[in-house]
Amino acid sequence: MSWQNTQWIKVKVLPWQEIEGRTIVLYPEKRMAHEMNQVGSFIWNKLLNKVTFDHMRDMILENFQVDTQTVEKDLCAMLDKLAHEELIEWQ
Amino acid sequence: MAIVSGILDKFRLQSSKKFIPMQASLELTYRCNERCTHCYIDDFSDDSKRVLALEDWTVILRKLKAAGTLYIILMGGEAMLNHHFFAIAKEASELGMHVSVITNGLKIKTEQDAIHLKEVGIRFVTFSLYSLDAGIHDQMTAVSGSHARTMRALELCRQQQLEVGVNCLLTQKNITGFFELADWCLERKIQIKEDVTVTPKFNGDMTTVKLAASEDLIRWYFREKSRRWPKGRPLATEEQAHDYVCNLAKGKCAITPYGEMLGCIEIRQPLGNLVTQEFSDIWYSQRTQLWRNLKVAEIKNYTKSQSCEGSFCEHCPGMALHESGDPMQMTAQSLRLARIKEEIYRENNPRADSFPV
Repeated sequence: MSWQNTQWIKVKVLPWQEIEGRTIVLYPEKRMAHEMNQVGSFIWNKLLNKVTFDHMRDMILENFQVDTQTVEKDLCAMLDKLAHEELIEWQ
Repeated sequence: MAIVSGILDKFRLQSSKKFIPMQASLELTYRCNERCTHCYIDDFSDDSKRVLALEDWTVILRKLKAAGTLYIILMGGEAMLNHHFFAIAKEASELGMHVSVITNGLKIKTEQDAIHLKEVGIRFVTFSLYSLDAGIHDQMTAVSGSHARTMRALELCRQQQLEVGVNCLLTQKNITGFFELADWCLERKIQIKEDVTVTPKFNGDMTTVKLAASEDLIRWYFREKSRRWPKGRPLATEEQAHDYVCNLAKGKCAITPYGEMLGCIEIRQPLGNLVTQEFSDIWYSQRTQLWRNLKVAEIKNYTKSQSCEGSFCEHCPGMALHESGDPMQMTAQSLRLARIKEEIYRENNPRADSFPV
């Protein structure tokens, strides 16, 4: 999946909550729960509204000490994972 | 990534320890289209001057979300009689909360009604169903034909792949039919929760408690349950004197139809109003702390088991408050239940008789 070419990415309407820096996301129909660390929680929060890949990448760069290449690689990996678990939608 | 139980257990424990209200019960109205003989509500009407607008409920939901709530339970009276029911459910769902409803189902009359529940993001529908015998159910709800309507509503929801459950209060009238109802639910993979404890009315009226099943029938129920489902056999809880009595004002809270916040639906003493006050001002107030800090050591008449480590006593400060005015006084029902459970425990564990006391 080439996330750089998408118009927008957004999380699905699912139950979620952030507790002390970690986010829990429920997928009731699949009886699954997902737990995210601090960076995952940051990404999840930003994806509550439609965002572009570039905007998402820039927000991470502003908030975490990491280089552009690493962010793009890690963000793509995370989006692949979220897509595989059917937690996000995109166009 | 994991199956639900492991991660959720961790978050539940964390929420209880850190006083994060992971679960909030919203009483959307006191009005009801049934008149259940055992119901704890003493007045099935709302004060029209105090009823909340949709905007008020939105404010409440946003404050709860910010405070850490993940699960919203819409209840009543009959929750679906609130004119804003669907809008409130939709708002909660879009805020990212798991929304469920406890209902008698009388307002779910058509396929479209069930579709609407799903469309607004409701994930679980719990039906109050007391028996497979229509006559018994209708006598308990005091509404002729209610059994057929509840059963139809349940089926309409199942057809829409909505997850459904059954809540069944067991009284003298319906307890002997429980296992038939449980089998019916299990065959359909419907979760069923039953309870033999009948709550007094909120105003202290004890007439409902008189409807509780007799000691012999409760004993029969536990014995039969132990025989059918060994995992459901009564067990003592090993609580320490310094443990909290329950989850009151810790991992859960409740909101009345007027926006008043309660530590739990059983304790009808408002801690503040969530429409006009900030969540933290209510949640960390001295009044809330007093309720939150009730400890096992303070329970009067709390008895240790004679057969094993721990106790079979289950104390509910709210029930006690309604019954005796003292939240820490064990109720007669709780003591009776503890005695019966211990008897059943001994039957299942013959060696327990020799436990050194």
